[in-house]
Amino acid sequence: MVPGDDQIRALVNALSITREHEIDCSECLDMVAEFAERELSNRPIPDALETVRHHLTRCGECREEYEALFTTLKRMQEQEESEGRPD
Amino acid sequence: MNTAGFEWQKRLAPDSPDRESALRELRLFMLKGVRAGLFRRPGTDDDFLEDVVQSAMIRVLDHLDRFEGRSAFTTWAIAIALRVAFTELRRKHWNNVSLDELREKGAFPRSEAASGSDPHEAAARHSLITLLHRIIRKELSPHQRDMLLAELNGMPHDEIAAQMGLTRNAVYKLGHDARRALRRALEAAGYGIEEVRNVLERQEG
Repeated sequence: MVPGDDQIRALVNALSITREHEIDCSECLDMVAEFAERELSNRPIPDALETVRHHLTRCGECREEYEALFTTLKRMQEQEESEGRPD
Repeated sequence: MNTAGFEWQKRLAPDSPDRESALRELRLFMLKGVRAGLFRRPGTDDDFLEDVVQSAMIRVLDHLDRFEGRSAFTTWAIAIALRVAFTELRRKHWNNVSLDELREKGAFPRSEAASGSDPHEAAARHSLITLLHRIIRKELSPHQRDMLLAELNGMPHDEIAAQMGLTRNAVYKLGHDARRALRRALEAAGYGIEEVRNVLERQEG
């Protein structure tokens, strides 16, 4: 296994954000709904949820799912606001 | 604490008199949620969305006790539905690529020194890459090497998991253990991660 330039860069990036303790994808799924709601409403992220932010940096699949969830919440919020707004 | 979420849990419980109506409402809500999250994404027609919501409903009902009220219940349920959806989309996208193929290809082109680079910097880079190659071979198990190889080639964890017969969590842990092992081995050889970056970037810059 001999990495090329792009792979070396990706590997070094991955190593640079590696922590001793990281949550896995199931733990991320358990917490990501709260994380997304807090991000959407600009509420502070407690320390326990910073592990989610780190996992999303590291895990492309969870990040893709989170981005779709965030988009969903944002669209639903906009829809609720426009429906609730008086003409 | 989101107390309304616990109402959903009660209504969806097997002995709830309101269960059927709660199931209908949740299904519609999840359908709306995944449709918004997957808007204009190829391969996500109505049949696909219906299948996803069907599978996600089963998963939500199986995991009702994992909902802790830290978010709206519907947000939690949509997060589960989106995981089901993306897992299926990735499976379709990657079903023609196998780990065996990647392994047989020998994976990666060897990194060459850029022409005209400083010979000392080129030598430092060559020696770092040789070391990296050696520790990948020496410190990682065959499973960890395969996982890293697949990941560096862009294969998603869902697909690596399916092909290795593991769960996505187990694949993540395999990768995490591999990254920690590589980082420790580099440090033991006198390379902090910033030093590694510097050696690589000096030549690229």
